[in-house]
Amino acid sequence: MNALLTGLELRLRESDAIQVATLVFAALVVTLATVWPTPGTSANESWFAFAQMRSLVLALLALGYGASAAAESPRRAVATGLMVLLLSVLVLPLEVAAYAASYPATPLWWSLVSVPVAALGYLVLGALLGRVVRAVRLGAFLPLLVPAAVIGLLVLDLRLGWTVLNPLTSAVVVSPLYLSMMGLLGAGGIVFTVLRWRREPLRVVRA
Amino acid sequence: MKTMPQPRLRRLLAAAVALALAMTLAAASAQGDTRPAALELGFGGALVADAWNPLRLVLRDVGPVEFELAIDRGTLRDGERWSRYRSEIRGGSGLTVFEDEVFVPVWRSLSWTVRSGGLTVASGSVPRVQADRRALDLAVGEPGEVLRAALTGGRTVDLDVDRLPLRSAAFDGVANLIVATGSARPQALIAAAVAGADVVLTPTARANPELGAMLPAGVETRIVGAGRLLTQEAWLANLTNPTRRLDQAALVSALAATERVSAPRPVALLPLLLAASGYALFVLLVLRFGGLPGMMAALVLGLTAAVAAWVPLRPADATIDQVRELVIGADGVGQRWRLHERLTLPAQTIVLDVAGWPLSNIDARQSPGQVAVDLARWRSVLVLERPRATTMALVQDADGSWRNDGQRILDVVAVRGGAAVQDVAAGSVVPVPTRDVALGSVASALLELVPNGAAVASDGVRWMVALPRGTLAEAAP
Repeated sequence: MNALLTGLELRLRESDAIQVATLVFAALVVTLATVWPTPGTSANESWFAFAQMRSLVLALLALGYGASAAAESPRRAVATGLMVLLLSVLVLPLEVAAYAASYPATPLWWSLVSVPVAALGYLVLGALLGRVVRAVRLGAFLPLLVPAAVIGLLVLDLRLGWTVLNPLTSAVVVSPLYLSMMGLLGAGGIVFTVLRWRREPLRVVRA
Repeated sequence: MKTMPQPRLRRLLAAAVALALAMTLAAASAQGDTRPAALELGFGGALVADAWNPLRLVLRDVGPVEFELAIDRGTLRDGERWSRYRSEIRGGSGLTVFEDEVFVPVWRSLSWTVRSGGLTVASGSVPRVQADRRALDLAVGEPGEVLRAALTGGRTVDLDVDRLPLRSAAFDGVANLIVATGSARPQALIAAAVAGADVVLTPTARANPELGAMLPAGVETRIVGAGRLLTQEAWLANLTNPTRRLDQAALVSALAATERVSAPRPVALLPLLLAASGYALFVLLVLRFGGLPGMMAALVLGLTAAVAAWVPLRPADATIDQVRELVIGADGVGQRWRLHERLTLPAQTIVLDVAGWPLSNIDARQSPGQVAVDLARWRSVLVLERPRATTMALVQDADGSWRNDGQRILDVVAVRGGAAVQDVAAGSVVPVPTRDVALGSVASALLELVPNGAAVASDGVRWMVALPRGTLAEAAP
């Protein structure tokens, strides 16, 4: 556990971590300000737009970091994953604020549970994407392939008429299939990482 | 082989067909109406649109059935707006009669079905051209040529006396009820008068002591509820100088339009923006410089911030309810109109346990004691409960003064053409006003619609429109 926390602490000190966290918070605060009802508006619909934005941002973040982690050592990859998870938890108060005022029919537990589980699932999906891309020697296209993957997941879900993989509709609708899929991906990723972790000699992650 | 001659064969066939036809007709006439289900909507099939109408379903030897009355009140612009009234009726061997009152709007399509065990036992529809808002004139007994000629409303229905409903809601669309028989039930006549109809008692009717007692000797007209009981002579005399009917629908609409339920006001953006930015900044700083303790602090702060955001931003309830009542009548009795308004913040199915009709332009499912509608987020529905007769606290004494005859203090009493007073104690006479009283929006709206001399009052629970004693004054334009 100490190794995990130390790894996370060191990972957070890296410049990209705080830059990305700032970007995520800025994007979400701006979203909240944009979708918040103006005086005279009868209904507060802010949560729906906010939740989708949050879900999209975190999915891009997790896919991107997951894809890049495929080339990293297991310990650094775990630290990166923990960083994404931490960030996904820390943005929840903004979501709770929008949720409380909007009073949607979707239960709050859905956000509280699906946000970290989805972050874990997209990290694993990103890692798979990264491995495939590197296998076909298209690593240079990764910055394009990550958003393309999100669009692909959205199109796939829409074509098949379900909510299993895409971060947009799953943000506002309870979908047991989505939770199961992300949970399975996450669990598979954890098992895989633990196995790799054990095989790798202990060393401190350095920036 | 010997064959039968052609003309003889034709004659035999024709005789057989004629015999079969005659037997069928004879059987049908001997048995009367043998339909398993027969529906009568309105009085004698005459409906009044935008009013409550009686509904009578007669079942013959049919087991449990589901009755459905489907009304589309949509428009070309809005599309279809269905209202489906459903009722499970036990039925069984013999005759089963189901009676209720339903609100019938101006419809595009009105049809009904009776189903039993998945099969349609009976069905029917009412053409759109029959959607008529004009009130009905009912005649029971034989009113005679003079009275019949005086019924100029154009929609007169002759009714069996035993078919007169006993609930005032059924008479919502009735303007005049001519009673030319002594066998009418007084409760039905009172119900009609309370609903706002002119109930005319002919000498034949008044020959019955029970009916005669409703208009004692020397009394030509008696205000009862929102309508009145009259002698034939008084009614005919009134035709030359007709008084306008009190427009109850306008009064209910005025009540419905005022003091509506409002959604919670959103928290101002600036404080929210400052709080969210402050939280984000603090989290970023502790993550960057706090190390492991900073991480823990960020998580604790996140939890605290979530709770702190929840408490002020979360509206107290998912739904906001409001019930408003208006009693229109005189002499201590009136027609009660009750409006239920419910606003929902999350999208959900709203179920109100009342027999009612949604005034909001929305699809609805109804049953004898329930109204259900699917509401979108942050939307409200206004349901008009079926009217019923009730007592009224504000009465007018013989000397013209008003008195609070109820159990509660009247917050305000305002007389059209007079003054207004506040806080009239239970059992006391409304005093002469000593100072000007500012009327609220509901009182002002109602006062504009009542006749001169009528009073508008509220006891905090219900609004009352009390008509002046004696005669119906001319309604205000």
